[in-house]
Amino acid sequence: MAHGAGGHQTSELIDMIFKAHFDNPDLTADDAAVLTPPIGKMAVSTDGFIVSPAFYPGGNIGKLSICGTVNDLSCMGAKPLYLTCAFVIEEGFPMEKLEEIAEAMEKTAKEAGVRIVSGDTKVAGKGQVDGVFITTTGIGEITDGVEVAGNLAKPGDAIIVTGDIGRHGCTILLAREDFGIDADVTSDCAPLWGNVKAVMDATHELHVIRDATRGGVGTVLYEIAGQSQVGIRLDASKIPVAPEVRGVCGMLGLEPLYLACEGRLVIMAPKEQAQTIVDALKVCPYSQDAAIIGEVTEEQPGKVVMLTEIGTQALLPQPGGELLPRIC
Amino acid sequence: MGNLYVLDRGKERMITKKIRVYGIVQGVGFRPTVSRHAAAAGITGSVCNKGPYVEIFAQGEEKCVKDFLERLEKQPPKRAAILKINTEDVKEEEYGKFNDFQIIESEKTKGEIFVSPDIAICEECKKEMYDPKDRRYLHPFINCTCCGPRLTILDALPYDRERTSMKEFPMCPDCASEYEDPATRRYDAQPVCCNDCGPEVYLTGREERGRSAIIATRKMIHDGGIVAIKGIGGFHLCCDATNEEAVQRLRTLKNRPVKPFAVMARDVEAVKQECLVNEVQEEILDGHQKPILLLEKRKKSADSTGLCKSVAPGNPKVGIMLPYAPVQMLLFRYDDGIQMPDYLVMTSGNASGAPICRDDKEAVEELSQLCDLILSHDRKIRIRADDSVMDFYKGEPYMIRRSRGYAPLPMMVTMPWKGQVLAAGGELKNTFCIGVDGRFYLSPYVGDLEDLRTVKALQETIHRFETLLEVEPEVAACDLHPKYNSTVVAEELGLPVVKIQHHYAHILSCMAENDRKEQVIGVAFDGTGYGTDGTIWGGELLLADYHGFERMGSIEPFLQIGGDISAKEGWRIAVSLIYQQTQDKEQTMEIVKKLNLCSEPECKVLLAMADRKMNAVTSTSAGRLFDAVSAILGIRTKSTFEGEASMALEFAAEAYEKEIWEIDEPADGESDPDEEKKEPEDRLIMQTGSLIKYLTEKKTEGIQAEKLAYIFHQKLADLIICGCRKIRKKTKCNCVALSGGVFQNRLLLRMVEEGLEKEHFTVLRHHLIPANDGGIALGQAAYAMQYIQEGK
Ligand SMILES: [Fe+3]
Ligand SMILES: [Mg+2]
Ligand SMILES: [Zn+2]
Ligand SMILES: [Zn+2]
Repeated sequence: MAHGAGGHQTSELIDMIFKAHFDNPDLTADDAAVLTPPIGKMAVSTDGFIVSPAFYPGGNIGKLSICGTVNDLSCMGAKPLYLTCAFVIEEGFPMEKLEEIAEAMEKTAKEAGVRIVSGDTKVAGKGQVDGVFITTTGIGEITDGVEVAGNLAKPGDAIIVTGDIGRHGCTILLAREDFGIDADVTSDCAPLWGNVKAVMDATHELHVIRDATRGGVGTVLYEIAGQSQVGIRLDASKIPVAPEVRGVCGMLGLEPLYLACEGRLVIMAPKEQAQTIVDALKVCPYSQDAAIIGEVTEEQPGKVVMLTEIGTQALLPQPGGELLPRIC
Repeated sequence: MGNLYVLDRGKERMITKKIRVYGIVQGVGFRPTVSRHAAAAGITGSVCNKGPYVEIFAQGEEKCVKDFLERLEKQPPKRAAILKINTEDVKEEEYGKFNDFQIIESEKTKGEIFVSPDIAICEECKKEMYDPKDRRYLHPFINCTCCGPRLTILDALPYDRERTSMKEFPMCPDCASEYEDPATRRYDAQPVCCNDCGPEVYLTGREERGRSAIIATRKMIHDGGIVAIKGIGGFHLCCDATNEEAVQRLRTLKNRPVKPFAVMARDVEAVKQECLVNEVQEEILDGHQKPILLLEKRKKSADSTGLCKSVAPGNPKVGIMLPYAPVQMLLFRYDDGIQMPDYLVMTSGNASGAPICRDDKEAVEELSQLCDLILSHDRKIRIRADDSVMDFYKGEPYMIRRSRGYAPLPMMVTMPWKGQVLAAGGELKNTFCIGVDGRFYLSPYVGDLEDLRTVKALQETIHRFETLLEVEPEVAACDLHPKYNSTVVAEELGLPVVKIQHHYAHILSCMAENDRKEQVIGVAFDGTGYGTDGTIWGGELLLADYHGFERMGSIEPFLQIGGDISAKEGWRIAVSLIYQQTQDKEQTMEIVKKLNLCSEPECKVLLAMADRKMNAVTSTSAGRLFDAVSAILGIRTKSTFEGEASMALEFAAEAYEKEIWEIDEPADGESDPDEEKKEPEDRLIMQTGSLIKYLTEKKTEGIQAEKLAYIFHQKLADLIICGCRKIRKKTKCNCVALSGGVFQNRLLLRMVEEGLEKEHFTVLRHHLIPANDGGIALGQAAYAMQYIQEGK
């Protein structure tokens, strides 16, 4: 194919691919999509996606760009309605790959019940970007009276994760670097509106819902502990981690709690509701392995403590910074 | 002097002196002793316990007062520690005439404070305890002015019963009269009590109290069970150390596969049955501080009875101590006819990671899963005190863990410092330190701060000590490591924080212990610490004084891969070091395979991580170097407890040294220590890399591991000595201070010390302050003290 030559021609070709995949009644051909406003409050979220490699076991950057924004909306209790997306594509990026990305976006958007209503593509010179960058913006509708936020965690809350943790981060790590590790790990990337909906249908007593993306569950927990000024106590034996992920982490000396997820929620709700929530999650796709992993406490506000399998109460190291050995 | 005396004769005049005695002068029978000396010297006056010091008025003829002072200095009470005596002439008009010598009741004053550590049961009390006619026959809390709990029951000073956890126990009339009579051994002995009054032992959650509780405990141990026993500074877990099954069970329950257990022996004779004991060791073993002594095991025939193997498996030494609390004596000897073993395992009663339990709540929560009975008592422990652990170097005590019996005796530094500081210490083996002017009170052992419960214990104990010593620190000192919990504790105190590089603090602690004021070449050989350049340090040559330091040299930097796990798995460092030498993957894999360091996939992963610098930091940790050599030589590829691999390496080298005194030098001259190779780091690099290469080659050629372990020690010592020589040339500094956890390795210490002395260096090393992280709070505090002087 000879569409690498003229920038103009390339853009058109790309536009055609996307139009073919994103086709729906609301997708605009004009400068802006014109939409009916939702009945409830409106939630808007935007995110840029860069992932290297763009294709990995269990997904690609297209699927990720839909899930990321859909999940951000869902975590606010908003049903995702519309998405816009902007692409920056490196000159010479293979068309078949773009096609694959578009297909994944189409499929994921459909699953999430969200319509892509406006888009833009730019082609950047070789080396100016790495493959393809995608920015998505989502609009969602908040109809329910559920109020969740990072500063609403209360002592006595149970902490729930919706599935095994760290798979996305682990997958990317293995796809990026050839460690010679022979592990069958796929990304957990998934759109989670259905899961949030199921939880909200099960109970209105919810304090926090967060998706544990970059920095993993550990980072999210530290954020919430800080925002809500509460302590967090985890029971290591209850945290679901796939054996492959555990194995890779053991080899590399990494903590699964700090590996990114793209299809996992952290939920905090009064202890009494915990089992109801877990039961509701277990019948949904992507959250059959939901588990109660700990509780919110008054002690040690701002900190995350882990009851380890050998019975110690370790302070989970603060996220960020270098991985420095502390053992003397 | 004689002439003066003659001249003064005849015109003897009456004088009055006000004398202040500082040190451990409370609760040690100080005032009655003073009173006796006064009578003997024929003077009048008074003695009063002021809290921080004892104040004495001595009135009489000049020569009598002089005689009195001499007696005071030369014959202080047994357990007193006089640190300073101030005398001042005062006018009789001011204080009046004293007609007799009076003991005046306590009256609290502010000032220098000395708190007595706990004191092991004394001979007289032992005798009374086993005398059926004595009213304290078999009394589990017997004590006197010479012995008993001190620090661990103290709320505040001055040391008086109502400020200790004995205040809940009213004395019976007999005890009260002993307590008030200066002629008895229990005059002013705060914890005094007897079979009719005072605390009581009991089994938690069961009926048995007093006598029946002790008998049930003895029976349980006799039958191979495990009992948690509350002692002086906390609970122990105890079982028959001659019963393999019992010890194994304790290992399983405590999740502690091989780390040695401490042993308590019936008496000195029993210790001698099992261990080699020299005179110095015997004196300390049976002294009033009763630390755990690391003693060399006797070689025994296979069928001999005594300590079972799993007490300290694969270790040429065993940690052993004698009973120091009366209740511990009763475990060995009682009148119930049960034949108890001569040796009991006495390991700290704590859940893994947590501090030693000090009350029933903690014990029930944390220990009931680990034992069959809990023998407790109702005298509260205010401050925890783990057993101290002492090794020996050239016949002298060499402290590994300074705690019960020693803390919080201050280290005195003769610097003109004024002010108050607090140092939060390190992360593992934490102790903290409060500095007041030139006095540094190093706390009892707190523990490893990876565990939240230990962090809490640190915060709580800091608070207690501040109250006890009546200090309000102006600054808090801590380590430079951004992720240490001790750093967080220091930051949360709300004081200005001073951060001190880990190895610099090690060197300062060695300087402070030796009261060295001038610059030293600090050899800090240690596990890992955070460096000022963001890399990991641990094999350092620092030019240091109290103002600051310069990094003059280090071992050759390598990649420490895998974060905290690399400290437990020496094979990781070994692979990294071999790869650094070969710079070739294939070759590395081949060597790794020959040495059987790890599996092929493991090796591949590690090499990939090395290439990508993934979870890998640049490190000059000497501790990790030892782990790596231990792995390369096939001694240990992993450690199940801290220091296991490097200890095993030391033992291997020592075993070799015992057999053979001469070693052949490395054939290739490439490791000539004086030859300096590239020094891109702008500092002297000790060529540990070529040493690794040499050892790897020789090991693959099949040379005996013990021999290579010995060569490693020898060559490393040479590199250190050579480094010091070069720094001396540059700086004219001739004094070397040796510190850091690696210097718990006595073979290396001896080689380095002797080598340096041969080159006419002055060498400072640790004695009663641990070379490991248990000592760094002292160094931090000393720095902070100097720091506040500069601001003043
Ligand atoms: Fe250290
Ligand atoms: Mg976002
Ligand atoms: Zn006594
Ligand atoms: Zn009594």
